[in-house]
Amino acid sequence: MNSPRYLNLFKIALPIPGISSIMHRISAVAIFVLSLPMMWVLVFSLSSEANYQIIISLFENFFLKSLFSLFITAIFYHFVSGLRHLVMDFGYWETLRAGRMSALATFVSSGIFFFSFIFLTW
Amino acid sequence: MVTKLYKLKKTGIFDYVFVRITAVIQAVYFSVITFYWLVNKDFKYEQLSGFFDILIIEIFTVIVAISIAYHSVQGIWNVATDYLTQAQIGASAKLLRPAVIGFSWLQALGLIICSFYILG
Repeated sequence: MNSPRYLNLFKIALPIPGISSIMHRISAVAIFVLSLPMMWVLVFSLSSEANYQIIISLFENFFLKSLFSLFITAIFYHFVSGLRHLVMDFGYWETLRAGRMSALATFVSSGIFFFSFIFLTW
Repeated sequence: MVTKLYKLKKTGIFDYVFVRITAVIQAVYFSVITFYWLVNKDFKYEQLSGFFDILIIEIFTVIVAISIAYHSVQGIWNVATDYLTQAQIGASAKLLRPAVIGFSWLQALGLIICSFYILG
């Protein structure tokens, strides 16, 4: 307890790997909160073709469609960032240079994913 | 790298390893779904219900739901015990932390129950 403590996350200038790590957690919480509603959407849309059409027309709404795209991107980010953490668990990419590069790669690939998802669904 | 899996209790190594195993299960599942979505250019109700009529996929969905349940309970516990502490947010942590962890258990249970609707 004698060590200096300054854990206000909003005032610490995080390095890129740190941003990647905290984004992993933020995306995790976002996915977690929406997981059960999305599971319900899947079960509901599977129950009959009419219900499927209801869900389809519901997601034509600009706000919901944007939210859903962000949700899918959050899943993709969590996926890629998780793979990065998994690689590091096995002892690779642990240098500063590799950590920065792979963290940057998670952001770039998520950006590419977001725009290709928008391109494919809109 | 962690190799001492045999110390199951106390150390949390079982949790450490199992969080990663469940993560890989989900990664495979969502890769399969994304691949199926990409190869079906004209995606309609038939494609969706046809996909979830395949028995292996249905069983896989239940396994993945259990995986997500475990993974999210562990993850939310990690996040909650890091940030929802008395040092971070004060006395409200005493109530908020168990509430969030309890909610994660409920939601995890709900996911597993929902997955059985897809199976049945």
